[in-house]
Amino acid sequence: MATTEKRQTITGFNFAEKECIWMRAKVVPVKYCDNAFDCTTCAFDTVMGRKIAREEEAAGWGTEVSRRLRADLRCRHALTGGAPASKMCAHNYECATCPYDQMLDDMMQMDHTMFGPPQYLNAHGYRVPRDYYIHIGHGWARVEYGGRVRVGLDDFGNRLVGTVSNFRLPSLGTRFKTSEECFILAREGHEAGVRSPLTGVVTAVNQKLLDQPGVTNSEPYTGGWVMLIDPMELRSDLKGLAFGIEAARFVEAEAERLLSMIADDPVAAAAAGGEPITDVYGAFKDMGWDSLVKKFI
Amino acid sequence: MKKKKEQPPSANKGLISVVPLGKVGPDVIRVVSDSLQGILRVPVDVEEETIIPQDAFMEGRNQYNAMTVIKFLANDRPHKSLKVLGVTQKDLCNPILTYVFGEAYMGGSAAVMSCHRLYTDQTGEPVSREQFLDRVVKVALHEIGHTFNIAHCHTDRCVMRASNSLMDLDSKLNYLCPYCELFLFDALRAALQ
Repeated sequence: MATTEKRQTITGFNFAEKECIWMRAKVVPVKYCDNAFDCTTCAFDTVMGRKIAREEEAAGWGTEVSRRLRADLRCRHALTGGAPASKMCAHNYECATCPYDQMLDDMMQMDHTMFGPPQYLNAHGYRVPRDYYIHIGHGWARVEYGGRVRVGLDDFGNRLVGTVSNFRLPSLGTRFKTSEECFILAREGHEAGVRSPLTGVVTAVNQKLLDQPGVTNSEPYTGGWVMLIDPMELRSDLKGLAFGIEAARFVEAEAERLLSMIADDPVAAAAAGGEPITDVYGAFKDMGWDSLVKKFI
Repeated sequence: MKKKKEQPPSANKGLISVVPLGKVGPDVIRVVSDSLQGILRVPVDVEEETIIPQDAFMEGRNQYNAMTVIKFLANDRPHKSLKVLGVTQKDLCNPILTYVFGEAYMGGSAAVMSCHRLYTDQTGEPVSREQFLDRVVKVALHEIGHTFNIAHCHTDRCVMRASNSLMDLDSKLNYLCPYCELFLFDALRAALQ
């Protein structure tokens, strides 16, 4: 069916900010993306490509794009969260021949969310995946195929809480704003609400956590995912999250804060080496749930 | 931004497509597609609405024959994805079952599910929207699971456990047990090679 190449726009679930890159480039006055920023399968992009190809002989396309986009030359993957928000296009939006674009596409096709673990940065022994966004409350967000965003609790948060006894998951269709509590984890009568990294509607939940809450401790970034969110303000929300090296630095700072709280000695924060324990709360229960776990999550 | 060349046909396409058969709420389709992607961890697309084939209608029963619909999805319309799931509001059945929540051929390329009987409880009272959507996800996962050659499972709350009633459906959860997950990954690896 001819329609298989074009993804539908689903009313009420799409990004609030979704200007097509051609609109952003001011080549067309109004055009909103209806293809999850996947220009390679977009019919509109194909048509525009042909049009530009015709005009290319008359005027240098690269020069024209550079002129029009001087204000905002961001990579298309930065718009979907597949690349850091600051990533600029260095290839005049010729994605078909751009090595960076090909590399990211290859990574997506390898689909490390499907069968294998992501690649991690090491932040004082805590794992921070390279292509995940981290919220200040230790929720993570990963932008996936179709613009969907997977959400969970990061390695630091999991080690801090330790053995989770049960989860309270949101209902499908629930709408959250950034930093609202979106799911609750409980341990020994204590509860902690994990804040949503972004604004959107819950479209999938991981009920495996109801039967096996420990999965989130052992696989915080893969099998321990908590929900999928259909984002509503993706681009602006991602600006408020840490990514890549920035995320690793944030977790390092949190690890140092935790160590200085536990050791009650600021000098101890400079310690290095070893692997973080897997159950911080369990090891320091006298500090209390509120003054340990809730200081971070 | 030119169209890429020399890419395999499946590049950047979902492995599973969700097709609304007639009018189906956009939230239902979105929840089905996102939950399939979220739980199975494979890319999923949504296709445009298609009319349910009229030759599937069984006048004497005022229901649609799920087997005919599956054949239509698999053979009578082109699709680039590995598997297709049709979602309809119509009541489905097959020649020997009074109704079905969904149906698929083992290892086939298409499956179909119906929302028709998921709105109410055993006594006919309407259930909450959350419970309805939860049921929809379980049926969708279960039927797509069959297309990956996963048989009915006997693990407590695995989504591949057989469910003959709404009570059965409500008592399981929306995930694959480790064995079914292994079968799924093996089937995916084999299909992608």
